Amino acid sequence: MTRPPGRRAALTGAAAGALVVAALALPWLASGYWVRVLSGVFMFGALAQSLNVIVGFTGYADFGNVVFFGLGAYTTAALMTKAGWAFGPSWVLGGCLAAAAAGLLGLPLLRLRGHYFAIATIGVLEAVREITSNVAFFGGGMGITLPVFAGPPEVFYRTIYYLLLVVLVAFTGLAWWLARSRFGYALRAIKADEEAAAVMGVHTTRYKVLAWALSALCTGLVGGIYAYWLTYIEPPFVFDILISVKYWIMMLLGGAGTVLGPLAGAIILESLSVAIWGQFLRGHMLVLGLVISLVILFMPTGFMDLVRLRFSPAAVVDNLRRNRI
Amino acid sequence: MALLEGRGLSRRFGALAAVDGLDFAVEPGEILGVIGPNGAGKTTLLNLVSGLLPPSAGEIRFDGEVISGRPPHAIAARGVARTFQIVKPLRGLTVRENVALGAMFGRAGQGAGTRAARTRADEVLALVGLASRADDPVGILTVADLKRLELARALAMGPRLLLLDEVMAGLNPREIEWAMGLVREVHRHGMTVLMIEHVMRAVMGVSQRILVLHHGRRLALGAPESVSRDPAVIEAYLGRRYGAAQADSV
Repeated sequence: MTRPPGRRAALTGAAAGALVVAALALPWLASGYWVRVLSGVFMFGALAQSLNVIVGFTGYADFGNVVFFGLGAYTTAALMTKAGWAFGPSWVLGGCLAAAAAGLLGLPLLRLRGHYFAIATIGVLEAVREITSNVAFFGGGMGITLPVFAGPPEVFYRTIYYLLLVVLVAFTGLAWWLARSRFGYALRAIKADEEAAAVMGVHTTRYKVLAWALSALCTGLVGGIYAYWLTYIEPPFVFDILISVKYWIMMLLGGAGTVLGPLAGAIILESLSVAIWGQFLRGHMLVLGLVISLVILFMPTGFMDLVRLRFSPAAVVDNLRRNRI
Repeated sequence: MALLEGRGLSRRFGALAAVDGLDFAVEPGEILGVIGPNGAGKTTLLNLVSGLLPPSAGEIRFDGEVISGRPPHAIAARGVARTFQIVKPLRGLTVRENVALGAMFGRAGQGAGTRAARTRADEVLALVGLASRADDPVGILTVADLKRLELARALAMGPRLLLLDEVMAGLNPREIEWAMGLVREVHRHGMTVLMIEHVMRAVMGVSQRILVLHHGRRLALGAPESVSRDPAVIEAYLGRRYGAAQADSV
């Protein structure tokens, strides 16, 4: 009773295309409030997608992933203010620096498994934040003020909106490519059983490090845009583990290792945030936490898996039983 | 020249020598059976050959080249494929994707794209009788089918040497016959096979030579008939009833 896969893919593609067109048109149709809300959704969607590369596909629990966000933000800010570069090249170099950091750190750290790797990445995050707070080039604890955008506010917010939309679409495309490329096969094999992957000929070290560098590049690029958006950054703003937690939950909620999952998770969680924040001004963190717990308990494989099972109760219960964390 | 050779091969875990000064050779195109009691060092031997463990002493050569101490993926790329005693299916991938992975990263597939790999996977799945399950997730397969998958994945790599670790375990008599037939078929096409087995009629029926391990050392090496009558082998492993049955069948 399943639709042929080709047709389902075409329908999904068409739906995605329609959403992208709608997103492109939105800033001209809706108020500045929505432009900024959706910018936030796009940013977190992009972050969740980039995390998906190392966690969802490769199976390494990078809790400290936001360190690359901060590295991208700080490199962009430093190059724009201290070296007088334009946003474009600063932004790209920010991503590259984050990727290089992951490449270097990956060689020792990716030998660690599971919980140890997760803790190590948190350690790296804390260390980098402290270093950034104490190095003069990065403004020390005083932060960096970026050059102001030359143009009216709505143009600025629209530019940020489109920048974030572009990276979101690009990173979703990356996930789509990973799901069907040789590189992606290697990563999924590593996640499933690293030893089996190795004896099948997969150079596990090389692929793990590349995956982490790719994830870091993506996260770093988002960080660069964020710095430009905020116009003023300080270490605790961008090297903040709570940001990581947020997009981790989005990725899990939507479905780690899927193409659209992280994006779906970002949309759902941001919608919930916006809805709940309006209703429960004081208890909203509590309610959000509760919602998150319930969702993790009852949708361990994520929202996209429920969609795949067409929400049929029997299939969902069976899925739950097999995948309960 | 032997396809696979071990010289003075040892692997210690603390004070325990799992493999102890072992010399062996596997000739190209032969089926070498490896038998011995539990703890004899058979799986450790396979782990050493496939690169999951480095030796404590000695060396292993494949086609004249030293492979001991090299990483597993490099050894796999040279043409060595193995199965695991406790199967390791790749969860989260379908049956076809599991086998396609072997086709992509094994010796035969260096640089192959996903489409070519999937085509090759379908061929191998047909060979092992899993074609009807190609799109299924591995989580729903039976034990026998998981063993078929393990074998298919190894075969898809296009290896020159196939290392089998107790493929017959858990199979019923009909499935054992089928597995023996498959090993013979693959061998007929030029494969060299090293198979660890406890199912005596399978390994005796298929192998050209048998290597008997005991406490990590070579106890006997020779044709199945002579090994199964060797008193030391009977004492250490086969048991007197088996020995008597063999003697009666002369």
